[in-house]
Amino acid sequence: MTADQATIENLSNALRRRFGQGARVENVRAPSVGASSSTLIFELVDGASRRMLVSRTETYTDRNSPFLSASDQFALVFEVFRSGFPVPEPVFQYDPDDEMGDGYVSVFVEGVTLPKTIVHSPAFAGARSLFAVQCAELLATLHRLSPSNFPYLGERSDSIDPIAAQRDRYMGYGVPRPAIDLGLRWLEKNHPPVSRKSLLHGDFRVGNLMVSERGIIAVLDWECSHLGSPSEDIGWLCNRAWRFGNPGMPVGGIDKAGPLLAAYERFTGTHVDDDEIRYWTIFGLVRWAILNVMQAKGHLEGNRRGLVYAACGRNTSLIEYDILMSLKGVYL
Amino acid sequence: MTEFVDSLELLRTVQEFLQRIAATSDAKSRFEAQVATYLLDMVMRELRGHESTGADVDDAQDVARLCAEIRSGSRDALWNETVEEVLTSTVLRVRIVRPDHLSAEHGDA
Repeated sequence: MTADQATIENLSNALRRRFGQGARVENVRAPSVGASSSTLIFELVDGASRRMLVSRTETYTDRNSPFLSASDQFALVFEVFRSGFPVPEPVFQYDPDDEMGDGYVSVFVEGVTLPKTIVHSPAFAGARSLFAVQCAELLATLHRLSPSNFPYLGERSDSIDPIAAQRDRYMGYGVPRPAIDLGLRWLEKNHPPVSRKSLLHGDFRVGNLMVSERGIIAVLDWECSHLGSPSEDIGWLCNRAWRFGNPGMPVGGIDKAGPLLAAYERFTGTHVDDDEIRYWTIFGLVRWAILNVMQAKGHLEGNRRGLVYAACGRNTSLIEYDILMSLKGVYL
Repeated sequence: MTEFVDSLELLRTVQEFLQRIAATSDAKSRFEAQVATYLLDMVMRELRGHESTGADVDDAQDVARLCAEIRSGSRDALWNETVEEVLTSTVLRVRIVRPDHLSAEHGDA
């Protein structure tokens, strides 16, 4: 699918402003509209040189948005890239004169994000054999970065109290859902102590990982980053929503939890308690259900209409089922 | 064979159309055609279903009251019963949305 002509013209102007009048844009395509942003992949042509770049612009804005602003995302990705973590190199941030909205441009990394291919394709068997250990190593590396390098994250409601942040958003949507209330009540009554707060990716899962046949090559989509318990990232990775047809394989539908937790402990020297992972897995389900309520509300109110957003409205019940089965102890 | 084209037949026809245009479309449009087909499958199950008519399975006021009680803690003493009560209505919704999501114990519609 191609972008509209006005967007391509604005993008061309944004590039000329930064790379000179000889710069031009070719082969623009719009691969997806995500939960919080719209993405364009394009080639920057400057004389004989060509670079594949990616533009991401915000599509969701709200006072109580669960997503980081584009400028904070840019700063965060810049810092994470600087630390040597595998993330697409950020190139520049849009400003109001670009008329592109809030967003930024980064280097394109060639690979696959499609869960069906990563989880099921025979060509990715090698990548799958490394997946749990690679996830553990990446999370361990990320969780070791100093939170003081990300001062803007400390003020985020998700960093201060992740349960209260979910409840605030849920109450703000004004859509009562008993399963979500049961989940929130359970989370409030069973909150494990958080010994230290680390930088969290916030959406670390199959779908947001760029994978080649040789393994994970980049971590994408940092709009949910915040500070919190490292187990929150691990629980999110093990969420039933990201098992893609393999419900018995908590780590992205690819592996059991054991290899992930053992490797994480090896890389960090920190034992990860099973009960804590269960807690944050249930938290992840509640959070995912609330995000789906948000998408359905946007669809119904006409802010962001679309097939996927309409589906989110009904899919909420699938997540609620998983919450209730987890609360009963049937799903672990 | 009846000549009447009922609602299910209309939806099936739209699905066939979506499959035809998806075959000649780009990846994004193919994905959207899949989602559209998924949504129509849901409507077809709802039309066929006995438990649900498309409106929510619970009365809105009862739902709001139940949520308030859970939030206030007044359901804590009846926790297991409340989980079962909510699970019962959730299973009905999942049977419409995606029946294969249910575990074996809830699998029989």
